[in-house]
Amino acid sequence: MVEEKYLAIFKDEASSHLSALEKCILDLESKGVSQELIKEGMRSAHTIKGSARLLGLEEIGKIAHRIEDIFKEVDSGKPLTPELITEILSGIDSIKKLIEGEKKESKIEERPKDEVKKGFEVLRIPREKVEAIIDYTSELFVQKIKLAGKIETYEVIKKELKEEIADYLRNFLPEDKIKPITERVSSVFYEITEDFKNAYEELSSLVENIHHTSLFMRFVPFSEVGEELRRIARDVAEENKKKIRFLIKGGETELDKADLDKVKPALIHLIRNAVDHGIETPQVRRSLNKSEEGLVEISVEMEGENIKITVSDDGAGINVDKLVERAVEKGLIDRNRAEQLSENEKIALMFEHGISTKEMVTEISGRGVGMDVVKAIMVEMRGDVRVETHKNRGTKISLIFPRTSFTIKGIKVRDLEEVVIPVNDVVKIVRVKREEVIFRNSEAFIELGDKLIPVKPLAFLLGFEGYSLFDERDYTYVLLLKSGEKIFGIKVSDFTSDEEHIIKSPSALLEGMKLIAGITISKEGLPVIVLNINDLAEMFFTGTSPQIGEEIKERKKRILLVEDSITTLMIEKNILELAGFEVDTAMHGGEALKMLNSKTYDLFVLDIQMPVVDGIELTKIIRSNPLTSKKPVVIVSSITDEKEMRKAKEAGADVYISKRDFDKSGFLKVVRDFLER
Amino acid sequence: MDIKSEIRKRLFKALGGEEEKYLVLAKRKKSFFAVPFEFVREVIPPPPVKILPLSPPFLKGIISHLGRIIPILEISEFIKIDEPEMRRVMTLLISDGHYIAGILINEYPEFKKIEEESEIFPAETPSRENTFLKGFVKEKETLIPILNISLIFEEVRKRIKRW
Repeated sequence: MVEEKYLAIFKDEASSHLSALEKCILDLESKGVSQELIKEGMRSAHTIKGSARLLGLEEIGKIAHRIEDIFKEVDSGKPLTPELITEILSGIDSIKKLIEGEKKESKIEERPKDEVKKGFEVLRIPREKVEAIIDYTSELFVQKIKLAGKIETYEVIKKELKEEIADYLRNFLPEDKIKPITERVSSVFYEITEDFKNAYEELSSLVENIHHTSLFMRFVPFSEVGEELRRIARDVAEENKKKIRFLIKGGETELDKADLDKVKPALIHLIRNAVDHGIETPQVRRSLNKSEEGLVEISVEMEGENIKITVSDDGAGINVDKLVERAVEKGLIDRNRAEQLSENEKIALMFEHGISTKEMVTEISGRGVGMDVVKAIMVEMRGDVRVETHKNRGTKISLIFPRTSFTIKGIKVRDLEEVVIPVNDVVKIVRVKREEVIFRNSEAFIELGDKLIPVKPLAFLLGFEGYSLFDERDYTYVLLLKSGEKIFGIKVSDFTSDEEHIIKSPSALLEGMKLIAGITISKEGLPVIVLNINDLAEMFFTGTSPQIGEEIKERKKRILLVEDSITTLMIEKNILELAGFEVDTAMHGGEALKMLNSKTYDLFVLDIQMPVVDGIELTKIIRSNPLTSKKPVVIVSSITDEKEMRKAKEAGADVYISKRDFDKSGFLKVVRDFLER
Repeated sequence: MDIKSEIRKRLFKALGGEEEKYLVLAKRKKSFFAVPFEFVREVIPPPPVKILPLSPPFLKGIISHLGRIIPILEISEFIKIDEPEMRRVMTLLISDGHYIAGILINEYPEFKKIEEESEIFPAETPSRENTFLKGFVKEKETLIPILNISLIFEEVRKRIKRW
């Protein structure tokens, strides 16, 4: 009896291999025999055979075995005749029919409906659909933020409308009659706004849940594949009359399904080899004073930003001499060269096509197909294979590969720009007072135990102008990072506690760009770079040093100009830029608030009447933020009302310029005077 | 048939002249350029661009669009546009099927149907200015450069590797 879920997996796997086989044989027929195509065909047939036998689909296994044999004969020099091609193609057709039959026949083990209801129902959804859902939910998140901005604007409109209605009614009604009307209007607006806000809150919480769930949809625990591997190990052991104990370590580690699917065939080969080639029979183990039961273990762990999956056994170990002998026999290496090989080079021969250490070719493995597949999979995944083997003590084979998409625990830091640093690379975060920094030849160091650790501003390393070591404060934050044996410090202005981040690839066009380990999306829906700490370390130790000494490097003064009139904005921007200032612009207070959180400004030029957050409110926020509280605020407004001007002063504005009296030189003088203070 | 009209015919075919084909005419700063329609994916309002540290000048940064990370290219680094910066209004998303990128443009693009009688010309003698061009199309007495998107992507990959 075949369980439905395994049959479904097999069906998918077999159809892709059958298509590959079909293409391969047709290519061989049309383009002529090539080693590469033969190897490809042999591997596909081998994989179908193995999986079919595992599920007890003997008929399919037999056909696949025959196809594999044909490829093997051709590999040894037998001509690929039209008869053989026809035999392979009709074999492929037979397998297809048998697979369809398996689905239709009642061989499938049916689970009672109640059981399905009680447990998890598993739906097979194409990857593109899952990815599309993730992408759309990210966009939902961005729209949620935008909606929050609209609600703020609505609040402003509500206030203004009430005043406008009152002004209008004053033309017809006495003051005492106006108040009840405006109060009624206000209360209706209040109710509508509250309904709107409540709906937004509910929507917001739903969007956050959907976003979080969707991000983790592609991740599955390794144990999902681990259990399949356990079954394979068990069946292989039974067939070979061996006793094994199978252990999975780190099965709870969640990996991207894409990575798991890619690496699975390699793991199947390793497990088969471990049981079939590695673990000895109970009799042999007894004679070696080993427990009758061999140990096969598979462990999953993170190694920096890589995944490391290790398959180990306590069996006979690889017979390296036999491996070399086979390689010589196969003509892969000449005897003289073989004698000069190091132990590791000899072991590496196992990854050559057609090499096996097994005495006899069995139904399970040892046909010379396997380890070259493992190597090929690792090459495709930009990974590596490490082998450790000891005679009679066993073999340990590790597959190490980078993750396609993954979650990391990261700390979001800001030093002019915001980036994420993986927690694994952080040794410590320290708050350093000005007097605790040691300067040597204008380079900064802090003491850590008996060591001096060099420190550079992160903004300097990332190439941003306007870096400093203290941000005009008496203390600074330093993240001590490690890269290999080296420890170095980066100064940041601010940081958040560690949190889980989903890492995306930075797009194929940018592949290989230094410093970027990946991109994550902030809660505001904006991309944030995750730094590659090894690249940062290289830059730290080989690049130039910042001109910090005890002073902040001279830089262009940066002004944030907030104005909702595009004409005024462009005029003021032009004046300031021509005078040599660096100018960032925002069209309203809400936009300015976001910018305040991402950059350091030396002066603010604000209008009063603006949507979302007005100039008065923005001034109050600037004054309440310790990083901006002492920065000059210049108001340029068309309002000449004494009351509004007083409000601006009370909120903390330093100077109030009326647009009516605006002149270029006067405006520039005010800005320069403040910046020179 | 003279050589000029033969070249024009071949260029028309190279631009997909067998079927109904369009060029998308976009404006960067004050200059127009054209992109074969099949490379254009979308025109979107400019989302916030995240600057990448120590990035080359042709790379303005990255954006997140529908959850995808898309690099934003400065097209004036590939074709000659010396005018001053203008207020950005749009991002033109282009793709060759493998790579995708955004180009900053300053006006909503127009479409131009390519017909056999359309005045399209090959780029003249290879020079720095027309390395990344497929040719020119004549529109209202002005020659508008037609971008070779695949070549631009290839160049971006090369420059990023070297950077």
